[in-house]
Amino acid sequence: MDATTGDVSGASVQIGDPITEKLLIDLLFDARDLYRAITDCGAGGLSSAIGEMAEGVGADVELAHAPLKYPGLAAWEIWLSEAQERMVLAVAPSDCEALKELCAQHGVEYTDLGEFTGDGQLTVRFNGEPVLSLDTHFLHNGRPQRRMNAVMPRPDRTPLSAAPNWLTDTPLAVVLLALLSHPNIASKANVIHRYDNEIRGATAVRNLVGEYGDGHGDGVVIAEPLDDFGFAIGIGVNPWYGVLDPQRMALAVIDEAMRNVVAVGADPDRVALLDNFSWGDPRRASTLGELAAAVDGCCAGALAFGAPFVSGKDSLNNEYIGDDGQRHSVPPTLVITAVAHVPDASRTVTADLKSAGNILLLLGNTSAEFGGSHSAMIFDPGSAAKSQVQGQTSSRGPVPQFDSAAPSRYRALHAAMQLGLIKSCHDCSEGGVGIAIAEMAIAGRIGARIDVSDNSEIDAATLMFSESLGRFVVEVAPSDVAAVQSMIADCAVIGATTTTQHLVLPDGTSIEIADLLRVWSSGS
Amino acid sequence: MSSRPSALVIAAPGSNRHPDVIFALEQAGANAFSLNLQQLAAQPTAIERAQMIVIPGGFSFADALGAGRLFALELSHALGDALQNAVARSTPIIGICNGFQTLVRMGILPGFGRTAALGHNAGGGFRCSWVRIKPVSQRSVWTRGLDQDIYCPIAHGEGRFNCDDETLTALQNNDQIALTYSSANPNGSLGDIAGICDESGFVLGLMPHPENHIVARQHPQFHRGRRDGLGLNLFRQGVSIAGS
Repeated sequence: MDATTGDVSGASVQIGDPITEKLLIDLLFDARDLYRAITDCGAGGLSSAIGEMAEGVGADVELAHAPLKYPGLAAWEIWLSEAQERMVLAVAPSDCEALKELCAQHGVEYTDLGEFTGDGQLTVRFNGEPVLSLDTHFLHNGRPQRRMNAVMPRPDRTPLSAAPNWLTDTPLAVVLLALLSHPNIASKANVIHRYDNEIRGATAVRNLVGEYGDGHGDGVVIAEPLDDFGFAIGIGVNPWYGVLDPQRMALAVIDEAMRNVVAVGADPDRVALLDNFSWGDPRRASTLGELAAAVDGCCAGALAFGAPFVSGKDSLNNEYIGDDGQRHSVPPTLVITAVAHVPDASRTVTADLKSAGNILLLLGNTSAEFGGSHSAMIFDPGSAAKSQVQGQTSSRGPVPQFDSAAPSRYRALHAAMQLGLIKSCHDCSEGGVGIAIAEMAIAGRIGARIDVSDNSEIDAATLMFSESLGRFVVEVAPSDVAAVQSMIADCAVIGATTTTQHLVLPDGTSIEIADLLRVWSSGS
Repeated sequence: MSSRPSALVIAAPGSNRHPDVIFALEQAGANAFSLNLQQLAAQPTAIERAQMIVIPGGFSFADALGAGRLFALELSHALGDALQNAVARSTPIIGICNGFQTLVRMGILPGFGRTAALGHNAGGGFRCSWVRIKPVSQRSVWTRGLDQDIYCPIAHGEGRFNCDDETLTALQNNDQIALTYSSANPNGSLGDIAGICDESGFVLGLMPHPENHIVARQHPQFHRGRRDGLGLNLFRQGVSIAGS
């Protein structure tokens, strides 16, 4: 930013100011008993903030009172301006003086813009003259419904019976190491250390876990230092699924976000979801169809888990001009955030293996689902560099299907965690079981042997690298295995922790943990 | 100690770890509260009445013109005399992270007319990670008698302690090097220095955040059964001096 910024981009970009924002946040925290309702000035500025708050209530607003960054703005410009770091508060008349005083102490600008009237009418004035007068019922519900055309995607969901040749032709160790160094799977430590993860001293489970604090966790848990309870935050995203099957993608990333909070100790029955859509131009019928399919998936996922969507965000019209000179949409991308209640922040669980001599259990069902998988991205010869996710489905199988038994499985896992039966837990996502166990070994600097004999009906490559949903690997003391298996259905032995610093694969190949760590760290 | 000493935490626009250090001080036995610069201007005797003074971490004034620089100017201008008097009265004072940078910019640290600086990390950018720091100074009332390493996070971009050779020798001879990194030096600090005290021993500045390791559950290896390195002991030390 310099002196020309306002001329060059002032009209198009709202320039943030972290200090003003921080003062506002501090004020809002201290003033939390002084306001009844609050809305931030985002898109549409005052018009949407006040317009939303006044629905069914009505308001009388004087725009001439609004502080301006520079003079000469017309009434409609003040009403619509998206200048940042502004919040609209609804304050009882008797609390206004106290709020004003607190604002002065915090160095925050305070402006009385008008009042909520109760007559259901939104009246906006400029120097006393009405410039807008609308019934708020009409404002919110009076517009005609817009109609657009969508062409729904028709993904190929033909199942595969076993791992495809491009995978079985490659040694397990080669696949594992290639996956570990893939940028999507490799260590994110260099990025994570660039952000303050410790502020407020309320971080009870970090995003980096394990013996040296360099292993990948699932979700994070935030809990005030002396509180019993806390909350977990988990994320799910997979645009590679979105390209192939947007409806299954939405279910898959809801499931992933759920797994990430359940894995650290959150109660699966007390989860709220947020959606964040990054999509192309919805005026293209196929793009709108993909969006509709993903929304269908969101509804199905929310209902399956009984987890409400409480907020979200969309960013449409994300397009680019490709090598072919044509406009293309970004891959259908949906980020799901799960925020969940953690009943006991001292009984949380991390992904790092804890000690030798324990049993590893695989929770959930595995089948040959390689559509959009990371192993296909790397090893399927059908994947050209330009469209590496759009290989022939026939050689990959479908995008993983949601497992309707997942919600009850997560409840059972949570119950086992509350009994202290789970030493470590990691969800299976990109790269499947093989990557989950490798990451657990890296994080704990504890060796492990992967044993597929308890899952003999599934081939080793599928068991290692399929990305089937609804699965976790958990570490359990030998004496607790029977108890855990009696609590959780679909719970098979997948290996054990060992005293040597090696990961032993189902074909007997042994890789030193130091080598896993080196390869995993090299990809970042 | 008959009563809890009062600890004043001075916040500037952009301070963000004042709640953390208030929690640490409360757990250590103080009665802690924070005032921002505007509130402090309206209560000029607050510094006089405080039995401890804390300058907390954050990004005061967005670190414009350098970390801690504007905070130091504001403090020197409005409250410089009151703070110097507090130093003269042997009030325990601690500046953490941005607060350390502020005390150095004000010249309160290292004191005796010498200057030091906290430059950009050798690694080139902001870094948050856990470090072990060793209490070494017997001059500092904050670290005197502490014999266990403290395990706590750093979260800074400008924490590389630097000074000229003469000043370093003087710091060593005066026992003013209060804390050193015993795990890998995270920012390229001269002599692995994580914190220094003034000549009186009552003023301590350090880059790491002992206020973020007050209870066992905050330990990054809590799930692996580790319980070492609480930062609480450092604050207990300061509180016991303030209350005596």
